[in-house]
Amino acid sequence: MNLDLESIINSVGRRGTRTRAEYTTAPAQRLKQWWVAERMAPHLLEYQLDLLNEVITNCRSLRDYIEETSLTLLDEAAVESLGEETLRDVKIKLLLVETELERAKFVARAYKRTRMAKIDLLPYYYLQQQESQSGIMSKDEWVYCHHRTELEASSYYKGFLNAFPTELQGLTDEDGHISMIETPDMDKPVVVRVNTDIGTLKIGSEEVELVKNGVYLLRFSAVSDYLEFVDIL
Amino acid sequence: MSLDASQFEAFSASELAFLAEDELITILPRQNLSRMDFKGWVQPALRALRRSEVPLWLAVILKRQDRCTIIYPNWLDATYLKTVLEAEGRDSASFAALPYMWQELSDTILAEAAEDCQGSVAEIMRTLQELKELRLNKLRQGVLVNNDSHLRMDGIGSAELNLVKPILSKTMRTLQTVKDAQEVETV
Repeated sequence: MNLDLESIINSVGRRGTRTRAEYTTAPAQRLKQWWVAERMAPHLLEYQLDLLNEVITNCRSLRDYIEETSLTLLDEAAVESLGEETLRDVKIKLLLVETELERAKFVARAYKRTRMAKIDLLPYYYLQQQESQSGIMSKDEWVYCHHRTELEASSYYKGFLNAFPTELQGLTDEDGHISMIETPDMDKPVVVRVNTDIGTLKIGSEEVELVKNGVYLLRFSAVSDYLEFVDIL
Repeated sequence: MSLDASQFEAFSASELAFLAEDELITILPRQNLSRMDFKGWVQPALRALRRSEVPLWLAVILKRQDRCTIIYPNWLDATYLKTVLEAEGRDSASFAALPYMWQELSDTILAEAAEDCQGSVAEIMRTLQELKELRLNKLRQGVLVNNDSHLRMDGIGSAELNLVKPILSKTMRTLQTVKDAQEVETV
């Protein structure tokens, strides 16, 4: 009975909330939110360089821990000195750390892959954006985007563009009414959960009140200035 | 290498299961396990028979090693789910309150820790299944995108949302185009 009471007190006490706050704000968890948002948003979001670096640094430390521990486990003398119970704890911790490492690696990779896929969809647009608004792509993303468009252009040129008159060979012409550069559809509807009362926004022809904890399907452009107040689902 | 177009519309079931594994859950450890530094966050020491909150993936590993009991969340209970089911039946316009990832969480918990259930697993599963069908039906019949600016969908679960997101999004986008064309015409 005593134990039970104690565990109830513990479960509502500071200990629980501390885990919650610490886990949900860990770098890998925050990067996960950016991955989810990146998947649903129609254009590239601000590159999370610092956050990604933090996750990678943490992954390296976890990898070092795994290497060290695995080496210890290979050393028979060391294993014997540990005792059975400690050995079991060491092994399960190793398993937990390995799992955490794989999860963080998955998130980091998924984040990068999503961004690359988005660059693949509209490479000329992002190249143009990078000039006016540096920071939308990371350096390696820019190099990738640049090479990609060059390769594509030279392949098209060799394939068929060289048969065209010179003035029709461009791939990024903006003369006349229609630009050749495809742009993202900023009005793509997305689903968001509002995390702070935002108030009333004019969306299309209507005024919509965005209330805390409300879940809404609405066009991305309506909330693109409020990304810190909403979670994209 | 790259993603295909459908992946920009919704998340797959396995991705949702991955996301749900980060939800926190209460366990009753059977053995002590000292504090663990995962670099980005710290798991405080686990003490035998003292409830602790841990991410679901961690709970599942400990459970498989027989090192903890999983405490079922309050909502994962046959009696509670039945009241939800009733409320769900009464109100055809909205969804009754369940955690956002209720389907993924209950799938994992029931699969990994059926023996830790205080009530009847079969009854919980049956009620969950009924809830799932009822809510899906509601989605099929009830959600009308009749508005080009927004659609409120409080209480929807992640599995349900990702099922209907592609079609809802496309419908709303079409409505926007029609509306824009009308406005151009009236000007």
